[in-house]
Amino acid sequence: MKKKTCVAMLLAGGQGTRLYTLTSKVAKPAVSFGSKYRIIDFTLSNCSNSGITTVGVLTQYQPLILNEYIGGGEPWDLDRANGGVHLLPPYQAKKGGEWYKGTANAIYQNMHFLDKYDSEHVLILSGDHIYKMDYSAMLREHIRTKADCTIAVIDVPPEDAPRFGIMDYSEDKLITSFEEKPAHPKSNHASMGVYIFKKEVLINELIEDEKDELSSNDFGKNIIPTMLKKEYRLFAYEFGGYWKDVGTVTSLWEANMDLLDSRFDLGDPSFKIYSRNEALPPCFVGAEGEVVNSLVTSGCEIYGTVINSVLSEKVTVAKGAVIENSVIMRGTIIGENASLNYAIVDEDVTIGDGAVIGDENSDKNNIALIGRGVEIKSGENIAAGRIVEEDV
Amino acid sequence: MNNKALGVIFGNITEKQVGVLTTGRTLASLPFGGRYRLIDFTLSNMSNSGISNVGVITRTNYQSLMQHVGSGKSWDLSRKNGGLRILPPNIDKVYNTRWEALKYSASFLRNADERYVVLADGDCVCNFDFSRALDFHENRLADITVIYRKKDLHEGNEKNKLCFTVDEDGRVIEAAVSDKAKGMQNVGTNMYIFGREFLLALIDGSEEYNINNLERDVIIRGTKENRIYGYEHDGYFASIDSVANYYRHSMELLDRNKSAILFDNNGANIYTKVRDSAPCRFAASSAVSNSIIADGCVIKGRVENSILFRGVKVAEDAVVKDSILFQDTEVGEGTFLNCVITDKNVHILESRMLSGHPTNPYVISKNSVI
Repeated sequence: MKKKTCVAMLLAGGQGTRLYTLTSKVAKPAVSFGSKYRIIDFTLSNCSNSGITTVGVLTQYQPLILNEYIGGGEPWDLDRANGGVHLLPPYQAKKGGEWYKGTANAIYQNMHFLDKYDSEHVLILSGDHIYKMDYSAMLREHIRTKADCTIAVIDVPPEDAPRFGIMDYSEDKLITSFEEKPAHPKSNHASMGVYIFKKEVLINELIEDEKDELSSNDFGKNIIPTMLKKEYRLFAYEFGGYWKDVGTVTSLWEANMDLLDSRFDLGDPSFKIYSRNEALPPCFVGAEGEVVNSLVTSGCEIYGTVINSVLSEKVTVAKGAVIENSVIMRGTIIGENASLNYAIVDEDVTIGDGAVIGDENSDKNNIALIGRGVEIKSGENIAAGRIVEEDV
Repeated sequence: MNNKALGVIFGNITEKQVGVLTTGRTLASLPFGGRYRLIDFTLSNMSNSGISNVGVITRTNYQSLMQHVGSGKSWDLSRKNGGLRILPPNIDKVYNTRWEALKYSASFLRNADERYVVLADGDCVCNFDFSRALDFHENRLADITVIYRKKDLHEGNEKNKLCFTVDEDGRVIEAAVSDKAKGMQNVGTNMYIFGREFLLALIDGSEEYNINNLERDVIIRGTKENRIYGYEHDGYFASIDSVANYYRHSMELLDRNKSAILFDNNGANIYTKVRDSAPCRFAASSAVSNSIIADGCVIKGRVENSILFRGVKVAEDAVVKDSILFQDTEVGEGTFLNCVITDKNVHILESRMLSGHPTNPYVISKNSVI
């Protein structure tokens, strides 16, 4: 078997508690996004488009839908004879099964996978960001600088900095400090959670870290700061494109809306985002349908009005219904004359005729969330910002 | 499921022409319904009916067809046993009838071990469950089952098809060419079921029995000798043989009653090659009504009663009415289209006015710039 220069490990076990009901039955990476995608499609497509064809996907929380979705990896061209996509759930060890304690521990528990493919470098990714990135360019830099570890960095607005790993680096990109979620950030250079390690270095550090009982076994909190202390060569790789963490309801909504004004372009034929899609006929807009400034995809039938919204596959909007500023996930049916404003509606929801979701307080910080499979009765009113998890 | 039957699809054996739309491609790979090719329907029907050993007989111009079907994976026909196979023409002799094609592809039939053979043209637009027809065929101990549909004919609106007279039990007692038939008729769909060994015996005895033509020499002449039965398809059906009828059948998809049964027959969907286009983007200035819009489209202008394939771009102030725009067509600012069919990758620049008529749509050939 020919050795690979780099294999990827994709951390997809995140629970995503700040997405509330959207992640009560699925892992965050499997949440619908951008009409025909799921969040993990972006990272998987990035790997595929970067020529990284061996990808371990570390799952943990609610893996069922995610596993089914990834399957053999064919939609991302990751069904390969040598390598390809592999699902790596926590497994029962001799000493008893253990859930992944932290991001670093998740990789530690799957070191056998890294040993098997024995690549020179390991790319660590997280499955919950929306961006298009050519990892091969970053890998070239990593190799050129002979770095032990290269961290992708993006400048964030200063007020957001405390949510990220924040670093400082010299002109030649050598990292001088790294702080995970600092209360008083020294810069706005944020880690994107995309790391390339020399494999030998990574393995050593993971073993060392595992011995430390006080460690929370996390890349940002432990591995990176420890490596800096030990004076390893850590480099920053500046990324200038669109990148969005979709960990909160508001950021998930914003990222969907960013697709409408082409702030983030999905249409580039040289860097496609792949997804697993059902065989569905193209979307149909009825004689009285109206669709303005929106994304719509296969299987949708629009007989009502859709404005500033993102609709996934197989969404039906009945006559007289008005959807504004909303994200509607696959298989949802919106009844006649229903109205929605600033809502995120999960998959397979039924919204009864004349139901009203959102009110005068609706805005991007007060988004109504309707959980998977929920049925909302005709004429029901759902206030701005309300989370609905059971039929009403 | 059952490996009862193998499938044989005729790419375009009768060389039916749909204007310039079939100059660079065979009829079976003609785009249809916003994201499909005609052959997707027959391939999906076979796959959905558990037929996993399928040969596609090609004649000429089959490059686009081969590109489209690839390994057959999109139809779940990439298999270790059987799967999809292209049966290209014999170099020395281009065959002109279904029967000749079958004769030259006999080894495909001979090397199979399925009991039955399903024959279908590559332009049958329908959602049909062959497994029920196969049960019927088996149950009647038939040699041949013809799939027909009921249609009210007036003179000349169905050419080159067969009409069947069927008794109570479903036995075909008479078959005739449709050209002059009138009134409610059982019209053939060019979909047949044969016993495999029965078909091979006929092929091997072609000279002895003087068989040169499937319809004339096997069906019409054989109603007494052979046990020929008729099975009715009562859903949507179309077969394409001219620009006008391509246009008419395409526009029928805007009738949701028709397209609903065509695209979802109790969960049996129509599959096609995936292109991984982005979702369709409707801009703030767009106005779309009664139209089918595929993924990858970017609509900034007005679209009415039209079918837009993947990746079509309609600029601001453009109006697209009653038209069919194939993949990657671009319509410039302020341009007006009425009853136009554009082939792939046609660019219509700004402020053009083009118009055809439903009976004679204005067809623009591939890669043209207007």
